[in-house]
Amino acid sequence: MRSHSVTLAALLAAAVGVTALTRGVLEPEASARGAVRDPAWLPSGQVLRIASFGQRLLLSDFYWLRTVSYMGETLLARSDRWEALLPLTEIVTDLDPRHGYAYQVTGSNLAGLAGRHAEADRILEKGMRALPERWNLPFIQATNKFIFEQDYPAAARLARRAAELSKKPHLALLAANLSALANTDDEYDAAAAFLTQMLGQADLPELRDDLATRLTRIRTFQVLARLERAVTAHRTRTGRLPVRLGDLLPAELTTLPADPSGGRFEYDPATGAVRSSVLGPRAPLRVTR
Amino acid sequence: MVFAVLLVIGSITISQLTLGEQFRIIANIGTSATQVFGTLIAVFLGVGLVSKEIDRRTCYPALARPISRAGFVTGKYLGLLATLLLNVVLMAAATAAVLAFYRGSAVFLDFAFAATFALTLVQLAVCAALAVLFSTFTTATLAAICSLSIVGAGWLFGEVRFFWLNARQADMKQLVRVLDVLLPNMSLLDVKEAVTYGDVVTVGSALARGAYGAGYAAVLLLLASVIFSRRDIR
Repeated sequence: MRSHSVTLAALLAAAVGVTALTRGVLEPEASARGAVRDPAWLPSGQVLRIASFGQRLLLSDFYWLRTVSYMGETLLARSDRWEALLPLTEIVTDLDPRHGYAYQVTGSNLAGLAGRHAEADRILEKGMRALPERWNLPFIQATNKFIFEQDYPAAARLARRAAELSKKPHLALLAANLSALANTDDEYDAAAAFLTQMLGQADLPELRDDLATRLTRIRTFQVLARLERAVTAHRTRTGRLPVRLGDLLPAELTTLPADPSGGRFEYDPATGAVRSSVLGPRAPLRVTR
Repeated sequence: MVFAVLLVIGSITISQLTLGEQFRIIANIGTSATQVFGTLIAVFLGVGLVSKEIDRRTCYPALARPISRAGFVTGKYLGLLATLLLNVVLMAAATAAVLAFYRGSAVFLDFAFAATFALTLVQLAVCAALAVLFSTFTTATLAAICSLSIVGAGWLFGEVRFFWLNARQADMKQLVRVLDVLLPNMSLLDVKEAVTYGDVVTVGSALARGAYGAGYAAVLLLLASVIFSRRDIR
């Protein structure tokens, strides 16, 4: 009887030992196998949605956890292989098109960490179609266009959309800066019109002051840009810089414009630079990566 | 049941693994666990309600009394429904407690939350009615397989119905009309997205959805009663 118990105890100890030993060996291998490597092996979100039997939100959460884990692993490994990030988020958002945070995080990381701008645009545009009221999505795309692609007209257009959706006139200030970076007549007009519209909606006196100041700056920069183009056109036509701004009449300009900031335009014939006596030279905010 | 409650409580830990929006993970686990475990309870208890009584001959003393067979089936079904109600109430309480613990307030406890769990009970009532129907004329194993298949098809149909209706083939639309009558459209009874996203569920919508499910379950129960009344159980 006693020897029977000893045998059983020995067998139990051996079984526990073998289990612990093999688990230690197998677990790293199993974890590596579970990691997402090849996006071609990921299932289609539409198929998963049909096969979810009503649990698509839970399945979407499961794939979101995998997406977060994939981002973490890729960052920790300092790898530049981000090819599964978009397909994973496509699955998440096919299963739950209202998963706004998934669009945001992926749209931001695809552009910022992975440098995959077209894919970032794709997921953010999908998000904007699914959640047209979510202002963060155009805002993130505006940031991507501004910082990573230097596409200022697109960034300005998206920032205006974010300002409109969020009812946050503060964002109109950002949109105006982006328009000034774009430096085209159309963008200045769009920025001025949008700032005027936001002025009508802003109720805080400080914000109204900021918007009015930015509107004056945009109008001044627009005229400065027009003068700069006229100076360049004069040099191209005559082969030399104009001596004074009046030399731009009538070939380059029909009339000399007034300074919208209330000052006057100052011209340096040595360099061809034009500046406002109140706001100085046209110098929009410039931040690049 | 205990496992389901533990899963809901454990959802706090699971939600820590994500980036932002932990609330949605806890809410989704709570509502999904109620549906999935409730369906399994409804089907596996439901299939034994009549068939086991016949196999063990325990229904004879009851049927020897002045109780109709329809009354016997209905009574059994209502007993199962009471069990499912208790299950849903406990799961809803566990989900609410975990969400309140996470949020630090109970602002999410609104009509939509109550409607979501009430309609989950209606879903389970349909599942139980299917199980009872099959248990009146087949074995427990077959009844479980058939019930789960039809519930699964009901969920599947809810997802593909839209695509089929938009398909250009005319026969698809005919098929949808037939399946609309035959299959329970489970997605009509599913408003759990309202808990996840704080959507508004109107009283009218909840009542209409509830009436659809209750009507469907009533038809199944009537069929079960007719089949059991005509069955020779000697």
